[in-house]
Amino acid sequence: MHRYIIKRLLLMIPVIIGVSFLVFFIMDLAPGDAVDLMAPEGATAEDLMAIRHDLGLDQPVVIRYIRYMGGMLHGDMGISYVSKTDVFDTYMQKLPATIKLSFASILVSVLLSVPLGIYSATRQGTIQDNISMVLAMIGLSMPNFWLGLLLIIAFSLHIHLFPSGGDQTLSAIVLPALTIGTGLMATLTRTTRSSMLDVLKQEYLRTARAKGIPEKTVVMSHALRNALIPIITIIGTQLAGVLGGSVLTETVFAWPGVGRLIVDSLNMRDTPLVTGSIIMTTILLSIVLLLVDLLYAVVDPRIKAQYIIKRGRKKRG
Amino acid sequence: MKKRTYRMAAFLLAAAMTAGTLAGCSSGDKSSEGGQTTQAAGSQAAEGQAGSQAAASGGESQAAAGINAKTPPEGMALKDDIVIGMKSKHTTIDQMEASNTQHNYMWRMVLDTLVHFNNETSELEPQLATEWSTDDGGKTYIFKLREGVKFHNGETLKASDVAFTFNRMEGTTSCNGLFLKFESVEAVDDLTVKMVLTDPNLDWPYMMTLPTSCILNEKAVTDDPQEGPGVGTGPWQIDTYEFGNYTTLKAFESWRGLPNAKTFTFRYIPEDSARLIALQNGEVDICAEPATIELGRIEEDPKLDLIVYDGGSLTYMAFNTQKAPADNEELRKAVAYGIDLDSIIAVAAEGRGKKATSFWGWSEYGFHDMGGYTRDLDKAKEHLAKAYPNGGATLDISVSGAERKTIAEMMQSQLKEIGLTINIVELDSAGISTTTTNGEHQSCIYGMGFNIFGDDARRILQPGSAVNKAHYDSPLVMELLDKAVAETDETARKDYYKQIQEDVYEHAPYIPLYYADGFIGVKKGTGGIDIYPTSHHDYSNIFVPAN
Repeated sequence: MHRYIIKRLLLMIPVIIGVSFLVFFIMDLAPGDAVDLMAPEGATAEDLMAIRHDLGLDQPVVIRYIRYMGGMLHGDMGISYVSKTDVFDTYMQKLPATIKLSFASILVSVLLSVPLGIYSATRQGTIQDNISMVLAMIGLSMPNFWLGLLLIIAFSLHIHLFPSGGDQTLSAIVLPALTIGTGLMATLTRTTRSSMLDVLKQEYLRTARAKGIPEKTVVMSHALRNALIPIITIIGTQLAGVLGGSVLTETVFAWPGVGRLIVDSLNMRDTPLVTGSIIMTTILLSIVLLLVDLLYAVVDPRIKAQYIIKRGRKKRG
Repeated sequence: MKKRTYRMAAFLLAAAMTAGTLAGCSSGDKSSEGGQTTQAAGSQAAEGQAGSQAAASGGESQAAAGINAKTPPEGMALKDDIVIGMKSKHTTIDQMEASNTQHNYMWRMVLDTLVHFNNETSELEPQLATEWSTDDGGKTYIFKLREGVKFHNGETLKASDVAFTFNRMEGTTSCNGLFLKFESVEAVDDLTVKMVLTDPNLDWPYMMTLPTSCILNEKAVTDDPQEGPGVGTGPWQIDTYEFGNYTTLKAFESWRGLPNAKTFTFRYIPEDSARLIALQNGEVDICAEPATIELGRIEEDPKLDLIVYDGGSLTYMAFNTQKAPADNEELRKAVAYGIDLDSIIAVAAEGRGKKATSFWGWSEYGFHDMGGYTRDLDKAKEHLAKAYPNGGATLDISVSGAERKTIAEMMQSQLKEIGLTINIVELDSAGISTTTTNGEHQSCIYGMGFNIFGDDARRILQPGSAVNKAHYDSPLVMELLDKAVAETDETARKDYYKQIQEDVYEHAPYIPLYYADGFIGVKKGTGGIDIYPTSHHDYSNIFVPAN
């Protein structure tokens, strides 16, 4: 198990190099740089050259990339062109808001999807099953920014139940979490349903029913646990996805998270902040996906046993 | 039977979705009135235009209606904590690193300049300097400072702070251009500053009113280069700043007096609709830069006021005069006479703009009404035939943003009538900024806010300037600008500026399109906002009713 974890962590190195390389060079290929946006309206060509020189933007992109990665090796992710603040600090300032929103969204998604998926699977082919699936599809089909605005108009403007945005109050998280959560619902509901359907056909459940165990216990205790692996996979990838920042939702709800930070920095061509933020997000995603893999072993003893068997074989060999 | 059940379910679902959409899209309690509400909103928008035009003639109609009163009515209970919803975010608290609208709001509240420009009288007034003089035709200036002015950190303002501030500008993002105009700046004594410029400049006192000329405290900046630039002498001091989210100011009893509230928070809400809803909802008291298409909602809402002002920002078309095909003057004139500005204003700016008749700021010193270009298809075809005797004329227009794209699309359709094919090149703001600065474009739609002093036109006409999007290089214009800025005779000076405008009109490197009206959505009864045509308003004396 430890070897597996170390191997996965080491695999992050080429991933980070690849991602940073792509981001850095794509940023360079895009028309425009930070200098023109930063400079005042009256700036002359000399002023622009001076700023470009100060930022090191007069150097070839390869040199800039090597310098940037050299800094990375020493734990220095650079300084934002625009705010002149440390990239790592800026990212870490925004990360808690994104983590909060991600977990809240996943919670909404799980609370809506898993019961709906189970309900649907236990009533396969009925009208209830179809309605459940359509509901889940509606969640997926509605664009986030549109749903977000609808929720703001309904719950904030008309009912005055939740604030329209920001992160100053605890209740401010409800609407953005609902927006993202309903978007995630469809995949999770369908996965739960199909996974449950597979398990519900298993012989051991027939045995359980034959032994007189109540249907509720059969479904919730015996079937659900065995159906969890694909569900966890989806939750894990969804969590990784929302941790990367939900740009549209964060923009509509003025949520000060990582997604908005990256987009704002992209618009300003703030290369160190974009590259640093994406590298940090890559690391975060890799760790979340690793944790999901490890969670399989906790949920399903058979997977844990596989690790032990492999280790045993290697020792004997 | 099963089929019928499905159909029924599908119908119910579709009905529920439609109802949900309609409920979400309705603007208030009038949702049941449907089309009637839309009609009413339309007519109010038309009235709003009239209101806008009335306001354009000095904003007196709004003042008469009690909108944006200067001081709070007697006995009015005021809100202690004011929040403004901003379209753009603060990225720094150092005035030398950013000089755009959202930052200038903050600098005007937190920092002071040596001189103040009174928007109502158009006169210069003392601020940190009580008097100023020049005795060699505008090359050397002496500023006498106000006595006993305190910074937020308790330090007293000295001439050395002023010298420190201007010397610190070297190499900074926003102020290096200003620094380059100095030969030297020094403190003569504790309350006297001497500035020697590289060239005579009679606009200098006006330049000392700009937020880029705000005075910092030497000790604060030296002790803490990060936070120190946020220490000023203004009636508000920075309390908390979170990059890209919000900035909170708290009241400070300065020489300008005590503000009408205890705190003032800038909240970054980039999405237009969400920002407006936050105003309707009472979460913010001011909605900066409301979207033009949503102004009707503010006008309809009895709890809100819409402040309308004449914007000083000119939307224009620039031709790259150094690159084919736009280096051809005949082609430029064909475009100038081939487009219909009235319809462009009506569609792209929703009718909320004033036709520009000269390539100059309407509030800028030396403005001369050239009458603008009027659509004349025969004239346009004549010029195009001279430029392209064999036909086949094409021109690329680079744009960024929805409004400017609409302008380009309208031009595309209008110029088709004279046989000119327009290709629209859509870029993001960084892309268009760099490509037009580097001269990679053929033409572009752009905008610029003009300041009050005549020499401000230099930055858009000077070769090598980043905002000279036409890359216009006219020795005559530069000579006239140099003469004007050093000319003490008013009539001669205005004549120089007139000649410059005539030159630009004649050669058409730029086509001035319109000055868009400016808008601020506020809670009803809000006032005390000092409106600047450049949109860099001063919220120092703002007041908001408590309920």
